[in-house]
Amino acid sequence: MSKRKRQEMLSAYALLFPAILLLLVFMLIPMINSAWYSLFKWNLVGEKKFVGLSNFSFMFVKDASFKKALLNTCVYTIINMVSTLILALGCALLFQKQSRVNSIWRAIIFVPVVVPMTVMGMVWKMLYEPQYGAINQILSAIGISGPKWLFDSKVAMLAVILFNVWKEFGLYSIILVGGLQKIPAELYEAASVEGANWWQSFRRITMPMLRPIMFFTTTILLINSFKAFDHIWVMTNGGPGNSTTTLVTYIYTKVFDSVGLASAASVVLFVMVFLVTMVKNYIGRDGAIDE
Amino acid sequence: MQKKKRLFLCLTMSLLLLALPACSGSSGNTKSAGAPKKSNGNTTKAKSNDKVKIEFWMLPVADESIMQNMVDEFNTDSTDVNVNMTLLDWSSGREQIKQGVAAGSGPDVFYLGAGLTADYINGDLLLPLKKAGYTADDIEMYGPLIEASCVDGELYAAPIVYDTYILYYRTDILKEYGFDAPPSTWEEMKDMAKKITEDSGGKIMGYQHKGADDQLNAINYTWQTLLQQNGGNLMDLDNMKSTENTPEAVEALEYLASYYKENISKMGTSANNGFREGKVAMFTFTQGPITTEGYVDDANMKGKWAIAQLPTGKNGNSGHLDGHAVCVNAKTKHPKEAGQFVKSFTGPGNVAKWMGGYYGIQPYDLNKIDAGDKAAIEKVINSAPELWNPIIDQGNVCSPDFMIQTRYGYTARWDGQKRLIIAALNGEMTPQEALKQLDTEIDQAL
Repeated sequence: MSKRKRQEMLSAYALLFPAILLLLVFMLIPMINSAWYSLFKWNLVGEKKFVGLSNFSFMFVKDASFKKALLNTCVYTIINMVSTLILALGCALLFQKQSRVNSIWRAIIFVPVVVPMTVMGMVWKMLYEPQYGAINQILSAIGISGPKWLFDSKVAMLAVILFNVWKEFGLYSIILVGGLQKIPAELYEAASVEGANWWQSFRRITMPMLRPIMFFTTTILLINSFKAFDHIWVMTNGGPGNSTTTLVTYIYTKVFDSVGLASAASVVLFVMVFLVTMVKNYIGRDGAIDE
Repeated sequence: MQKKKRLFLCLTMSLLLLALPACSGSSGNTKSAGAPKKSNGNTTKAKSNDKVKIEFWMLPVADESIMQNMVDEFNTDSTDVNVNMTLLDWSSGREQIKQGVAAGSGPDVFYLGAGLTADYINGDLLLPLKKAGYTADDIEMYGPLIEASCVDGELYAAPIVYDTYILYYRTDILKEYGFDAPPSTWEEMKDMAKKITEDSGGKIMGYQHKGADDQLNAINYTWQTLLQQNGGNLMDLDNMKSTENTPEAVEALEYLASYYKENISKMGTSANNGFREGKVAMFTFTQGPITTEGYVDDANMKGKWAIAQLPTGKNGNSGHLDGHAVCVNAKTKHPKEAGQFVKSFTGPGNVAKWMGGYYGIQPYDLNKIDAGDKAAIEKVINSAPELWNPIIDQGNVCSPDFMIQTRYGYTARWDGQKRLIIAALNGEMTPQEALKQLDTEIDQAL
C-alpha cells in the first residue's frame, strides 16, 4: 500500500472513530449486555441468577401477555405502515407541485410532526374521552353514538394507530414530495403524448421512479412502527387489558422487576426487526421489483 | 501537511470526547442513569459548615412546602446534620430510587411504601432502624399497623401516614332517588347504583369503580379491597405463591365486572370529575380526592357530599390499606445522622402537620406519645370530625396483612392487576383466564 493510501485510510478511520466509539458505548455494548441479561433472573437490586433460556420459554409457552404483545406489535406495524403510506403518498401527490397554496398545505400537515409525541398524546387522550371528549361530542351532535375509544379493547388499538398516523404521516409525505419533485417532467409529457392516462402514468412512471425513496420511507416506518411506545404509554398504558400492549410496552413494564424477561423480549424485538428489515431489503433489491 | 493537521484535529477531538465523562462529576455516580440531579451518592462532611450532609429522596406525599418546612426546621435545630431533600414525582420516582439505591449511588434516606418491598429486603438495601439510632421506646410508640414495616420483628421503615379506602357519596343524589343513608353491604351498593343509573336514564352513574375510569392505577386498590372483603388473599406466604386465582377472587371479579355487563357503570367515565359534577353518585377511593380534587373547599359541593366507611363484604369491611414511609439506605456512611432525621421527619411532633395537609391515618398510638403532640393531633381531628371519623374508623378495621402480601412481586402485581383485571372487566378475558394469567406473571417475578 502506498504511503498516500495509508494516510487516507488512517484519516478515514480517525474521522470514523468518534462515531464508532459512540455506537460502541451506547449501542453495541448495551445490546450485548441486554442479550446476556436475558439468560438471568434478576430484579435489578438482588443477585442475578442464571436461568439459561427459561425467560424465552416462559414468554413463548406460558405468558399470554407476551403472545398478545407480539400479535399487537404485528397488527400495529401492518396497519400503521399501510395507513401512513397511503395517506402520505396521497398528500404528496396532491401537494407536490410548487405553489404558495401547496407550501401552506405542506406546512400544515407537517405541524403535528414537530409537536412532542407525549403532549399530543395527552391532547388526543382528552379528545377520545368517551363522555366529554370532543370527538364523541361531535359524533353525538350528528346522531352517532361514539365508541369508548381508549376504554374499549376492540377499538383502543385502532384509536392509537389513528393518532400515530395523524401525527407522523406529514413527515413521510414531505419525504415523498422530495422524491416526486425529482421525477423529470419530460417522462410525464412523453407518456401524455403516447395517450397514457393518470393511473398508467402513476403505475409506470411515478411508482418506479419513487422506488428508492419508498425503500427508505418504508424502512424507517417499519422500524418506527416496531418500536412504538411513547404515545401508547401516554394514552393507554398498554390497556385496556392487554389490547394495546406492544413488545416495547411489555419490555417497559417488566424492566424494573424482571430484567431478564425484559431483556429476552428485547432480543425477540431485535430479531424481529432485523429479520423483517433483511427480508424487506432482499425483496427491495430484487430485480422483479426494482427493475 | 493539511492532512496531518486534519488527522491531529480528529484525534484531539476523540480524546476530548473520551475525557468528557471524567469531567461529569464524582466517580461512582455514572451507573445511576435515572438519578436525580442533586444526588451525590456518598455523604461527606461539608467543609463550609462542618455538618454531615444527608441526601434525602422523597415523593410528594404532602405539598412540597410542608415537607420542605419540616426539613428546614430539622436543619435549623440540628447542630451537626444538614439534609438536602430532592422531590421526585409519583410517575417515575420509585424507579429512580430503585435504580439509585441498586447502583450504590442512591440517597442516605429515601421514600418507601410502608409495607416495604421484598426486593429491598432481599437485596439487604435497608438499614434496620435500630442501627440508625431507634430505641425500643421509639418503636413502642407506634400503633399495630407498624407490623407492615417490620421483617422478623425488625423495623425497616418509619411510617408517615396510611391510606385507606372510603366511600364517597353524593348526599343530594341519594336523597333524590330515595336513599337516606349510604349502602352498608356490596349487594346493597349494587342495588342502589342500579336504581340511580336506571331511574336517571343513564344521566347519572350510580357507582363508578376507580381504575375502570381515567385513573387506571387505582384498579389495584379497588381490586384488592374487593378481594379482601370476599375472603381472598394475594399470596400464600408459606409457599411463596401468588393466590389471585381462587373461587373467592373469581366471585369478586365477577361482581366487579357485573357493573359493566349490566350497564350500571361505564368504563372510562371519571369518578372524580363525575362526582364533582353530580354525574357519579358514589365511588370508593383513598382519602386523596378530599384535598387533591378540592372537594373540601369546593363551594358548589358544600353540603352535597359525604364520606363513609366501606360497605361490608362476606369477610367484613376491611379494605385497601397502604402507607408512606421513609427508610435508611444500608450503605449510608452516616446511619445515626440519617436516623436522627428520619425520627424527626416522621416523629409524633410532625404528625399534625402531615394530617393538616393530607387526610391520612397517623401511625402512632395516641396513648403512648407526648401529651402536647396528642393534643395537636386531636385538634386536627376535631376540626373536621365528619371527615376524620369515617377515615379513622375505616383504618381501625384494616389489618396489615395485605400490605405484607403485596411486598412480594410488587411491581408484577401492580402492573398485572392493572392490565388483567381491566381485561376481565371489558370482556377481553374471562375472570378465570385473567386471574390465572395474573398468578403466572406474579409467580414468574417471585
